[in-house]
Amino acid sequence: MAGIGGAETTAKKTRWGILNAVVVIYALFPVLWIVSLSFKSKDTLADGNFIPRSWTFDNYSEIFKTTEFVRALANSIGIALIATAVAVVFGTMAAYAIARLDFPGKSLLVGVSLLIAMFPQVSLVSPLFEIERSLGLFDTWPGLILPYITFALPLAIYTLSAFFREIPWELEKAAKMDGATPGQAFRRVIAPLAAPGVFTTAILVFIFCWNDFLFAISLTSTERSRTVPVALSFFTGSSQFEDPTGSIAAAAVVITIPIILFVLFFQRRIVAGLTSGAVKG
Amino acid sequence: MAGLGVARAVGFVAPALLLVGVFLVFPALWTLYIGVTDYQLTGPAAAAPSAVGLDNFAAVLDDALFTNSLWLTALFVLGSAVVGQNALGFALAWLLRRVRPWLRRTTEGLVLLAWILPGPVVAYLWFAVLSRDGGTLGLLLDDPTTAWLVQYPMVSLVVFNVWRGTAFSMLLYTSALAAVPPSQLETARLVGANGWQAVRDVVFPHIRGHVLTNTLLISLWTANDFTPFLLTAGGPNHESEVLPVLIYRQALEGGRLGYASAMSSLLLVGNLVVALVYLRLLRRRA
Repeated sequence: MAGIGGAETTAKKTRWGILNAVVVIYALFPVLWIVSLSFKSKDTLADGNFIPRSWTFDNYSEIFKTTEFVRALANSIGIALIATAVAVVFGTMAAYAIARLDFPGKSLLVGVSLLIAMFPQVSLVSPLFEIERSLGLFDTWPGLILPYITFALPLAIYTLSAFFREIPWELEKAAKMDGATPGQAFRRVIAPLAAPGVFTTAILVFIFCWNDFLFAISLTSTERSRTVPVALSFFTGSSQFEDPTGSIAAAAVVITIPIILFVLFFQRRIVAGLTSGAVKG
Repeated sequence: MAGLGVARAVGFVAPALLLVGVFLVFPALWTLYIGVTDYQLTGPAAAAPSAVGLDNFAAVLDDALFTNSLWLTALFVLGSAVVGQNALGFALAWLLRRVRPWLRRTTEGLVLLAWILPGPVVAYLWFAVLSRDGGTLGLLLDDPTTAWLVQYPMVSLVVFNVWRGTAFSMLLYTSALAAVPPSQLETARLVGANGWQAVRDVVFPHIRGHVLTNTLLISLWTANDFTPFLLTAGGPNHESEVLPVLIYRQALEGGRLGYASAMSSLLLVGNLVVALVYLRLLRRRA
């Protein structure tokens, strides 16, 4: 189909050009709009111009002056990092056992993981709220970290098992026969093969924790542990009488940056991670 | 290795199981339990909830808000996931399968971005696009008086969710299409099949399993999705109150924990039934 005749190619190129433009507008337009809002000065916010008439960094410098936002950003980063680290360690252990060891109920475990990975979060909000209030976890870091780990684990186990199934584990034996100690065999042979899968899973888990809104709004009540997605919805502007649009736009851009960087640098891995389980399933 | 294997395996799996047990299975069971009590967030029934049997369930099934919400959720899933995301995802995967890698990667990246941006951010983006005064769409159509989210809340939600969720379908179909033998497509072309016939008779039999998996996953995700809350909060007047939003509002805004838990239980059971049917279908295929 590709590149048959000259005339057809030109027509095709035009068609692709149009299609591509449509896709770019479709996906990118709202994002660019908010970036543009975040750089507009207060009096031009509502002018509807796509390109700001007067550029300003005020919105950014202002949100970084409020503890409301800075605290939320610190919470977001800390909670997401800790939850990701723990979930990936526990998930790797479980997936390793599933890939390498024989035990009863193994296939059930993978199936149940998949089931749980699609659990309706909202149905657990009120019991979690109760449990955390009685344990004193409500509105604390662990109060968010623990549910995040729990909700990320099934996904992590499922994705990691799909990756680990592809690892040629005989290589470990071969390395030992060549005189490597078990530790060396693991470090030199298996770890490098497993690392991409683990890394991919870590990205997915981090994105999940970073983006969560439902748990964060139900299980926190103060700045102490409120994360940015929630803080965003409480934004009132730096003073009470100000239109918060500019601040919200700037804060939205700030929490979007890590996600955009992930997609830019790790797109192929994310795609592999998202489709690995489902395609083989 | 087998005997040692079990002990080691338990050690490896235990931390994960423990966490999932305490923070997921236990709350889920608790939901089922609260569902048969008159538990409230405040008031006398908060201190000493009493069992009311299946009264909550009977009341829920009789509640016009619940029936309304069930209908809206069905509409939302059917419109945005089963039809919208499936069709658009497949179309994108199909159109992009032969283009140059950089173009494909760029498109893929952009569509992916819509999917993984934080919910509050995308909700805010869509506010900016759909709002009445100075909304982008209003400016583009030169129609500043339409408040899309108020006048057409469900249509807005469906369009929004197609925009947001198409990435997964597209990625899944892209890798599914890679497994279709090119020679068969070539043959179809030689015997004069048009694009649609080729998709129907050559491609579809190969990717039937993927269509099933994809439809199941996106349906469940859509049915459980809480993002509509951020866009319309269920309003105006319950016109876009899909199930997760209704449950949230009943529980945390209305304080009727028992009642909301009965709804949650029904949602849980619904999820479970759909997933089990799917697993059976898959097993029969394999």
